Amino acid sequence: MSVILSVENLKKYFPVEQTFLDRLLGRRKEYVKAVDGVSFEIKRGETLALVGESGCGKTTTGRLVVRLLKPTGGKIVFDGIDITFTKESELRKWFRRKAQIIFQDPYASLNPKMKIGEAIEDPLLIHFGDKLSKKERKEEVLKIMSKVGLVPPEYFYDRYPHELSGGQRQRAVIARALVLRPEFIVADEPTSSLDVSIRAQILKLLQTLKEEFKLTFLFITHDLATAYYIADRIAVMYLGRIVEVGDAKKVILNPAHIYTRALFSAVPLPDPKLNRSRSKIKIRSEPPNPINIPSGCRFHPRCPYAEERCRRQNPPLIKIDEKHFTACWLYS
Amino acid sequence: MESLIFFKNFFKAFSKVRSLEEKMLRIGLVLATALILIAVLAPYIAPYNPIEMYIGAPYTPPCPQHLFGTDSMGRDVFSRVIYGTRSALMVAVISAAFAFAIGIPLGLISGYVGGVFDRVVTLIMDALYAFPSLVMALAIAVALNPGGSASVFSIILNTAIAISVVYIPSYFRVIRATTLSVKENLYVEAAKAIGAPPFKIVLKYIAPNAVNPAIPIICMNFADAILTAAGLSFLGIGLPPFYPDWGVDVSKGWKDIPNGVWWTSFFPGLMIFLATLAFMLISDALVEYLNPRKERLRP
Amino acid sequence: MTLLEVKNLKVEFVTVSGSVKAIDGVSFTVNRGEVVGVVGESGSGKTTLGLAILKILPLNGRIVSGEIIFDGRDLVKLSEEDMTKVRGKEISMIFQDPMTSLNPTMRIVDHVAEALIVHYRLSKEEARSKAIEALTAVGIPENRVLDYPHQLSGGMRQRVMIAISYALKPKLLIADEPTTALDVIVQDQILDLLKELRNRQKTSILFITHDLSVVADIADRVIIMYAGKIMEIGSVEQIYYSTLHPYTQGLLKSIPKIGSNSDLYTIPGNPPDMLNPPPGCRFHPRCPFAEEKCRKENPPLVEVSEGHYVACWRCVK
Repeated sequence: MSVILSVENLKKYFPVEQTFLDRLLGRRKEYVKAVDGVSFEIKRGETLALVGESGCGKTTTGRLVVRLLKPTGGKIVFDGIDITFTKESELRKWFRRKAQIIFQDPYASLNPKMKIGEAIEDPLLIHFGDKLSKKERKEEVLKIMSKVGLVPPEYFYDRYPHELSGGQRQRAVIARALVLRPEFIVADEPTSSLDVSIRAQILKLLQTLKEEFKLTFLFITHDLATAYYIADRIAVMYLGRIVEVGDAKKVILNPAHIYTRALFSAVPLPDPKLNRSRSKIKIRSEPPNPINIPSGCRFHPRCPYAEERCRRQNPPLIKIDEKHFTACWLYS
Repeated sequence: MESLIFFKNFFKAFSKVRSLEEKMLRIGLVLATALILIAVLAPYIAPYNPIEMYIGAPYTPPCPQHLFGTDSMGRDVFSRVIYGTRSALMVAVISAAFAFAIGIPLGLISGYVGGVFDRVVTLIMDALYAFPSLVMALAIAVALNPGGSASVFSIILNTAIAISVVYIPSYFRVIRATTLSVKENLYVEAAKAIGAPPFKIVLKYIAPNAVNPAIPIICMNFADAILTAAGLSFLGIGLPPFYPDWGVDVSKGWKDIPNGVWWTSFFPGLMIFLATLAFMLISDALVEYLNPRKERLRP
Repeated sequence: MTLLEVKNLKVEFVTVSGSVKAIDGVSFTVNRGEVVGVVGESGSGKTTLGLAILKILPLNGRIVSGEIIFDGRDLVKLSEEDMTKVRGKEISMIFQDPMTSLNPTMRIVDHVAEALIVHYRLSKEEARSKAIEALTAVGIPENRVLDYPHQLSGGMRQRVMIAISYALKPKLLIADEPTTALDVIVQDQILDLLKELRNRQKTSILFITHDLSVVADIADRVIIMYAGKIMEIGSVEQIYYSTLHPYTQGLLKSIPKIGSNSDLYTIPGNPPDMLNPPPGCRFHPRCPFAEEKCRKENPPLVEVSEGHYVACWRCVK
């Protein structure tokens, strides 16, 4: 299997808004280090789940790899081509056709003033406006709409987003992302704003479409059970870094990093007896401010096993098993 | 289709609950419709030619033949007031069209592009905005027509342009502000992700969602244009004396008030008041209606 | 033992497009010291239920009929003046977004102190010291009590809301999706805090959520709501291990589970449009077992085994 996306030491720092007074007093400009040295690879046809809590940088990573944000540093290689600092006008020529993103909130992802059909047609109009006739474009749109389950497509073609339910809107968003037949899709929490009974529908739909269109997914989620269901591999992020990466089933059933273990044991299970009987690693505190990142291992102030070395030195990703890596000194 | 739903809800909403804004809107709409009808049907409504002199005896007080009396030249005040609606509305429409056509694209671009361009444009607009509007319009009107010997239509056009310059910053500011918030929407980011070029993002994704707040300003612009145009004519910058125009008539008529001749200035003045009021009422009501917080009542 | 008894409650909203029966004949009880989970999707009426019990419905909503017997009194008949005394002191509520109930210009210690002054007529000094006590009890360090709400994280803000409940010692706490906006680790902390509140003060909790996993963790009994009606009530064990209603079964089978490799079940269709709810059983258009009777007649909520109530024709003998 060939590598479709490889990310190396990716960084994104957002400057903290300075007040006039700060500037006047010559205070040093501060940065939120949302993504701070992330490396991973995704093979063609694979689904990599990026999990972590809010503020860990998973969403920023997703936006960086489809170049909706400009990285501060590092390297993004897509299909053998370095796109780290490629200009938007150049990206529009080929990259935007091959990589797409699906956002969490389908309500906000669709222009309220555009009919569903128009919204799905727009990518075709932008990229193949001169090659495809209006009729061909509409046919293509109707075809993809029935693929994502907006049936009958003729009915939904003329609806406005506010006339659709949340699940139907997310289907429309998926159709818009797929109409150009991309190879790679970033799905940023595509099910978390939907009703419980709709989530399974969308998850299964993505799974089916993946097979049919031979897609590669970067699936961003905070929900471990969803990651377990959908992903081949999983990467756990904490404060802008990947702390554990490996085969999804392996990592979720046998987490290595203390943070991953704490995270996993905090997830409630839909099973009352299991919930109350299992042993938990409890963390009392909340994640630190991403402006003042702790030295050494970023997790050490919250880690019950932290040693002197953890405070000073940042652990690299250490191989603990076949295809299972973790950034924790306990495994060195 | 969507605008149809909008209007359906709009009228439905206001036939059910009758709040103050809705009454205001109703009065405003009735007045404005009447004004437009008067302007269009002026030749059929006006009993006399408005510029023909000595149709009646000079200074005839209101009577059955001359409903609003006659002026110093024996012209029929009623007919002049009716025809005056045309120039007033013309100035209003043209100035609103100009200000709209310049202020809105500028606001959209400035808000979307940001950076240095945005700062410079905003600065210019703020400077324009800070200037007293009548003085500004006066200066521009004089500058556009220094000799004072242009045709009636070009004078109307000049007046309209002068007023539109005053109004461009209002459109600009509002549209820029909404553009700044609309461009944060996910669907704008999604448009970028599907490879939409910037002008298309602005045109198809931002503009349709950002122009709503400009609607009340159009009405405000209308009201103010009528008032400012009347002011300019009153000061003698506007139309020639024979032309039926409310401002011109008030400026000529008010000198007769001490002699007991009130009708030559009162009726054109009343029209200025009513026309301004009509659009002000609509504008205020629209601000309330387009207020997103109120829409939350819908499920 | 019963603290709250809701009998045949009906709540209606008037909207531009017509009236919506958000809650359509709901009856249940909450015992003292018990955590009852109310589970439902959007439009199920679960949030409205919490607001109706406190009588803080939005202006376009009203209680049409029914009784809310709380501690021997019918809240529906209570005057607004008497209701004010009940709110906060006897029944308090926490929301998904605590920022909506916190005043951004007030220090957090004053939020708690203010509530104590209003309901217990304490002096300012007394109220403050009790407030600090309550805040530290819910895990807010003493050096943070003078902070303003915006200086706190989402989890900390929710702790402030719980501190108010802790200080006022209400008999019932209505928690409307209190952990939905929080990350799992913080959610776990807040759930522990609520359990502690129940254990220490014997506060009953009505825990409203869409999340079946959270309910499995915290609740003693569970109410499953769909389209303004109750589908199933039972102890957590009954709901999770002897599930009877097809909707509950569908929900449980449609959530991904760690360690399970079986395929997901999907409930077909979408939640109903509450302006035009389906006739008969509200769930019949999405139910795999729907029969002719389900389309026409609404099934009653019947007790099939002790404490286990189901509204499904398949369970009516």
